[in-house]
Amino acid sequence: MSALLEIEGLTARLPVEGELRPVLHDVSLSIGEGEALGLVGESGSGKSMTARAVARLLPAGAETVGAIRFDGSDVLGLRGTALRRYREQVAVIFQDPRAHVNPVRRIGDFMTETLRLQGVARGEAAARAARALRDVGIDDGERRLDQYPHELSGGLLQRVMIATVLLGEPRLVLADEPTTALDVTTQAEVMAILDELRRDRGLALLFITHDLELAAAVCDRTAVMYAGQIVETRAASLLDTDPLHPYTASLAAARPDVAAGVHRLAAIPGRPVSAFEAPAGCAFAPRCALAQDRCRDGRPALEALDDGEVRCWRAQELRGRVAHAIRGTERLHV
Amino acid sequence: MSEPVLEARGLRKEYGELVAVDDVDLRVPEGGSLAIVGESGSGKTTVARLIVGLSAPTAGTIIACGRDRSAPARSARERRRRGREVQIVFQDPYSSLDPRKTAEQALDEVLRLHRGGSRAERAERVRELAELVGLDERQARALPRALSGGQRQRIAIARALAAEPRLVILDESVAALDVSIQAQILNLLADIRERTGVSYVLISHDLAVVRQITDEAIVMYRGRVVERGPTARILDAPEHEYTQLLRASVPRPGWRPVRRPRPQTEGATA
Repeated sequence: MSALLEIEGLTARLPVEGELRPVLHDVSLSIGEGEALGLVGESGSGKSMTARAVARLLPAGAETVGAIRFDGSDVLGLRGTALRRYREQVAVIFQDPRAHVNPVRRIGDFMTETLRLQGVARGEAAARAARALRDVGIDDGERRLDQYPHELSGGLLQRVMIATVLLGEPRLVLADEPTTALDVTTQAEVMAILDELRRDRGLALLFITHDLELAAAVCDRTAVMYAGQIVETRAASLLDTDPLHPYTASLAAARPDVAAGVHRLAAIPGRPVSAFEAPAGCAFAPRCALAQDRCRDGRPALEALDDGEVRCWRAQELRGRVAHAIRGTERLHV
Repeated sequence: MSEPVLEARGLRKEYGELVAVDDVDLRVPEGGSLAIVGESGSGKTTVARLIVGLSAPTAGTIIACGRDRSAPARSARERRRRGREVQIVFQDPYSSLDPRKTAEQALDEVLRLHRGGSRAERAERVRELAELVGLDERQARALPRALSGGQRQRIAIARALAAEPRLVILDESVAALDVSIQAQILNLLADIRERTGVSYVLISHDLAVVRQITDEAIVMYRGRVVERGPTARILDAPEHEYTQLLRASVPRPGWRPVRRPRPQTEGATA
C-alpha cells in the first residue's frame, strides 16, 4: 500500500511560559490513499496536536523534529504557494463548527469563498454549493445558502462544514472530534454521512476521537495515543477484542456499558498525563495494572506485532491476552 | 412505600411562546437514583433547574423532602433550607468553582452556611469530605487552577455533599471528563449513595452512564416524557420510537452509523 500521508518520528515542542514543552514524542503513522485511520486518546494525549502538525497549524514558535510526508513530499518545510496548494488537498473539520464560521456572513458566502478565489463564477459556485449540501442530506440547499450560521442547529452546521470541505475536493480529511458537541442521534447521522461520502469519493481520513467504538465503526485502523506518544496501532475491528497495549484494554474496560451495568467500573488509577509530564520509562507504567520494574526504566519503542504496532515492554509476553489480563486485575480504586 | 425524596407533578415551564417542559411527572424514592435522559432541547436541564429552584415552574408542583417548593422561597431562611435539602453538581468543573477559593475554603463556606459548628468541628468535617471524594491534603489546599478537571469535579461533589442534602442533582456531571477519570467519579458516586443513602437525579444524554448509576429513568423528547421505567428495561427493550432511535445511535462493537428519520412526535407549543 502506498501511503498518502506518512508521519515519521515526529516530536514537537511548544513554547509555554518561556520554555519549550514536548507535546508529541516520536509519533509515527501512515494513512493509505482512501484509508480511514482513527486516532484515539484522552485529553493531553497529543491527538489534536498530531492533526494540527499535519495541517501545518501548530502555534508559532513550535519546534518539530522528524518528518511528515504527503504523497511523498515533505510537508513541514512548505511555504507560500506550495503550502496553499497542500492545504487544498488536506481539509480540516473541527469539533465546534460555530467557532470556525464567520457569524455575520451567509452560509453561501462561506461555502463558496474558496471557489470564488479560484475564479469560479458566482452562479456556478452557488449551484455547486447547493449540490454539496444535497450530498450531506440538506435538501433545501438554496434556502440555506441565504441563511446565517446562528439560524442553523449544531448538527446542521457541522453538515455544512462537511459539505464545504468536500467542495474543495481534498484527498485527505482531518476530522477533529467532529461529532463530540452533537447529540448522539445527530452524531450517528453526521458520521453516516461523512463515512458514506468518504468511501464514495475514495478520500483518506484521519478521524480524531476519544471514543474507541466510534473510531472502530468508521475506520480501518485505529491508533491509540497516550502522553504524546502512539502506544498502539491496530486494525479497528481487533482493538476491542484483542488489544496489544494495556492502556487500550484499560480504556475499554473503564467505559460503562450501555448493555449492562456493573457493580464497579474498572477505573484506571491516577489521571492521564501530557507528554511533558511523562515519567522516564513507559509513560503509562504508573497507571498500568500490568507494569513491572523494567517498565519504569526505559522507554519502549513502537514495534510491529501481529499486523499492528505497539509500544510496550511486555507486548510479546502478553500477546493475545492483554484484555483478559487487564480484566483480571480489576483494582478497586476511587 | 416510604415517602419519596422528590415528587413532581404536572411540571410545565414556558419561555414566551416556547414550552420547554410540558406535563412532566417524576418521583425519586429515598436513596433512589433517577435518570432524566434526552438530547439538547429536550427540556431535561430545565427540569433540573426547576427542581433546584433556579427557576420557577409555570405550572405544576414540586415536593422535596415532604415540603412544597413550587413557588420561590419567601425568606432567606426558607431558601437556605431548600439549599440544604437539594444540591446540584454542574457539568463543567472549570466554571462551577470559585477560582479564588481552595477546596477547603469552598467546603468550609458551605458548612458555615448550612451546618454551623466550631472552627475545629468544621475543619474535621472538611477532612472527612475531602477523604470521601478522594482528595489528598495538597489538592484540598490548592486553588482550582492548579487542579485537573477530575479533581475539580471531586471538589464540586464534595461541596454538594457538605450540606448533607438528601438529594443531589447531577447535571451532566461526568460528561466533560476523560474516560479513565469518568470511571473513577462514577464509582465514587455509587459509593457515596451506598454509604450515605443520598438520592440522585442524573441529567444525562449518555446512556452508558445512565445504566451505570441509576435505577429508574425517564426519557424526554421535545419537552415531554415519552417513556419511563426501570433503567435496565428502558435500555434493553425501549418501547417508544424515540428511545429506540437513541439506543440504536450509541456506538458499540459492530455498530455502523446510519441515517435515520427522527420521530415526528409533536413538539410542545403554547
